Amino acid sequence: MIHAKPGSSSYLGAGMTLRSWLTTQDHKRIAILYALSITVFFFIGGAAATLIRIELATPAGDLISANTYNKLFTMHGVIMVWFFLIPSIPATLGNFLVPLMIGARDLAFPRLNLASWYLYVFGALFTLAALFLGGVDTGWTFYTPFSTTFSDTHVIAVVTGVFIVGFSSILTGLNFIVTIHKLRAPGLIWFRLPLFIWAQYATSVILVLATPVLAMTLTLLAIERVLHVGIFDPALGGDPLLFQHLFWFYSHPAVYIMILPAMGVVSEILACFARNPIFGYRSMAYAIIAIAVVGFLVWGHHMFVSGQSMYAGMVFSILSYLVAVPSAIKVFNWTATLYKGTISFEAPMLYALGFIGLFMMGGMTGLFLAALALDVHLTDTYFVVAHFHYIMVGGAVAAYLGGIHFWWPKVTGRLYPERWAQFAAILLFFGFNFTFFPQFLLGIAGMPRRYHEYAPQFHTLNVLSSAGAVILATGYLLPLFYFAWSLFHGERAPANPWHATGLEWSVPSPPLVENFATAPVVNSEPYGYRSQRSRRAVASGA
Amino acid sequence: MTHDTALAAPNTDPFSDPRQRRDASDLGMWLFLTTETLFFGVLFAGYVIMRARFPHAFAAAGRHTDFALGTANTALLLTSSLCMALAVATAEVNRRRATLIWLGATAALGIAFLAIKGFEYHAEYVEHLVPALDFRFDARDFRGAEIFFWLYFVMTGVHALHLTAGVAVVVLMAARLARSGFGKQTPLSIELAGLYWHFVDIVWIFVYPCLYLIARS
Amino acid sequence: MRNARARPYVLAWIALLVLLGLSAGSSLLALGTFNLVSNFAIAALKAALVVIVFMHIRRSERTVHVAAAAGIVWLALLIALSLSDFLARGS
Repeated sequence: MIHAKPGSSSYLGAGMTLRSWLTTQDHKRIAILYALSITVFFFIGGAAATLIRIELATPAGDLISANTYNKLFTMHGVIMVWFFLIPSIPATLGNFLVPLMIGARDLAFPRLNLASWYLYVFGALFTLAALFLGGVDTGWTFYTPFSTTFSDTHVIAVVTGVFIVGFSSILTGLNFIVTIHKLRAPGLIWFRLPLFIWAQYATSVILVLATPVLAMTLTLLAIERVLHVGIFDPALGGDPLLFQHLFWFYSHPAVYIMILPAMGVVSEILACFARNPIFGYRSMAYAIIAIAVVGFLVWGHHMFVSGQSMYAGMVFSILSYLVAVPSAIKVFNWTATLYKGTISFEAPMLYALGFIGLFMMGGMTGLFLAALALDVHLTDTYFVVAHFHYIMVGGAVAAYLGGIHFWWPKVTGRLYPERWAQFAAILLFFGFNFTFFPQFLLGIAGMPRRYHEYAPQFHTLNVLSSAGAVILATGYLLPLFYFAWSLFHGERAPANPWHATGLEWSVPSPPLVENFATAPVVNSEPYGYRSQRSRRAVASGA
Repeated sequence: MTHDTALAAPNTDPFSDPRQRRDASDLGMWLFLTTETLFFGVLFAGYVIMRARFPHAFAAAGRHTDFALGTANTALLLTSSLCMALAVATAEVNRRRATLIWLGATAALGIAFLAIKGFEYHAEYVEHLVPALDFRFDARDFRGAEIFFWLYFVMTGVHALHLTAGVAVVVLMAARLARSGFGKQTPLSIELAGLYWHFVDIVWIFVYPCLYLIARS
Repeated sequence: MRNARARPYVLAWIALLVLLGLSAGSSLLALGTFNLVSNFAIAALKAALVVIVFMHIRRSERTVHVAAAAGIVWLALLIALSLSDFLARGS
């Protein structure tokens, strides 16, 4: 077993000054810079959510004014989408692991990678400025003409921040695509790549194709807001639906930016803790690509009741059903991966198992919304809110946390305390369901979203939801403490504590600055767990 | 690991050979141009839909752009692309003087384009065709014409910003070449700059008919 | 040697100027919708010349071709679907 003490050759030990961190070109250090940044924003967005749930514990709008409430859910959405979810897995786990998983010394363009992080910070500062100047009340969707003409909040500061952070993610996507195409180790053909890499690749393609559209759309919004001339305000001859088409052309694929990396993480974890290869590897890879491509064709399902033509509605509805198919294939294959496996329930596995169920619920409720007639009733209700939180929180955040736990030993060289981690994972699962399941029922019953007060008949379910949020918050805070503890007192990690397959587990924990002492050559299929099991059986004389 | 190798600075260069670096840079630049295609593409999408909405107003407004200057500008940019391509070709064989001449010509044509654009903008300002700055137009087509000119200034403005960046890059490369001669990466850098320059030219190739060739007859 | 290397570029440049003259000239004739079609077609042809000759895309590997095509296809998607909704609305 390789034990690497953080010394001069580990990436953590190479340079201990703040300056060495802020000028690093090492993808591993940049990943940590991102992780720290997005954690800060996760808790800021979470603070907004906490205030929202406290207000919604009672039907009357008694804690916060309607205007302030509008600002709270807007900032929650803007921060969680652009400053947490979109960068989360790609910029942290992706940055750290992509070169390691493919046998490379770094990403293709290390300086561009650092620039991406600085762009993130720069954009984030703009958004924080808007927050401190009083916030924005347009919703994270910035619909016109409210955002261009009627809102008197700091819209331009926020869209500038989003514009800048958009380029951060575009450059990351570009870097990943070139890296995966050009820097794979000898023998590492596409169909030997871990599914995490397939997922990062597909995500990067979406980042590159969709984000520029958002950038220009927000630019046009800002210009229209300043000049009072433009193409989005009907009073000026513009078309508000044009804004929505342009906005959702990006923002629907954006949700696949948020979930595809999570799917990649789940595949890695499930195979490891079931000691089984992923069932149907090729179809999993194809499904990832199909989700990315078809995901670009469904954006109009956000506009069923906006005044879009009936024909467009029908086309987008059918395509939305289609995009569920590859997702369902993945859920079936993950389940099949467990069959006749040797399953253990370490924290990463708890997150991954939770993901399968919660993602499935979120995905299936998406089908309800994709049906035109049902959507007329359910749109802009809490059903939608519950649907996307099941996918984004129950799915993406759970997978992110699972991944952080799974690769924590590799990144830090320390083991986290397993019992605390399992407890937090279970707490999160229950807290999550308590918070968001009642919201499906609230939506069906007709409670509208984005309101700071509601009719009395919705009271009980809202109290349940807010109580669940308390459990959820506790579950999110716990890892902060035990991860920090593990950095100083955690047991030192071997190179491969989980006996997982994958090139990243063949290097010390934490890795060397240059990743590999000798360049690896790959000549085996991924997820070689079955052969690993039979080798061990033979070795132990079974 | 021997003591000696532990002391040697670790090799963190992602590339193993110059060919790989070249191919990766080429792919990276083309990917960047793909993002720019979608970035500018939003403007064309807006144009298409607004023109479908205000066909008469767009025709009326389109007659007020400067056909001669727009066409001349297009010719200038096309010529600048020729110069840039020649600069890349001479850089490939490390011909310093020729490369400097062609880079200089590229930048000069780019600057000439921007100067003519500025002249057009000024004329449009004088004719009250700048939205939000006392825009005046026949009442029947007012809204649509104002939107046409909004698109005109945004499309040509964003293009001009990109062109300015391109000119800056070309000038910087020429300056570095003049001062330090050809480095190992110089031909590649010039080639990548060339890709960007040609892309900005292509954007204009599509902007030109949108803004200058409506209802000219 | 110099002229031989420059030739394809100069020829492409001449072709581009000819196409420019064609589109400018044809716009002075009242051809209705055909003006729109021919202007777009000529622009596409010019762009293709720039991409193939000046940017020598054929020297690049296939992934580059796919990336370039993807940009155009995705833009076409955006415009086609949005425009068809607009037209179907009948506004």
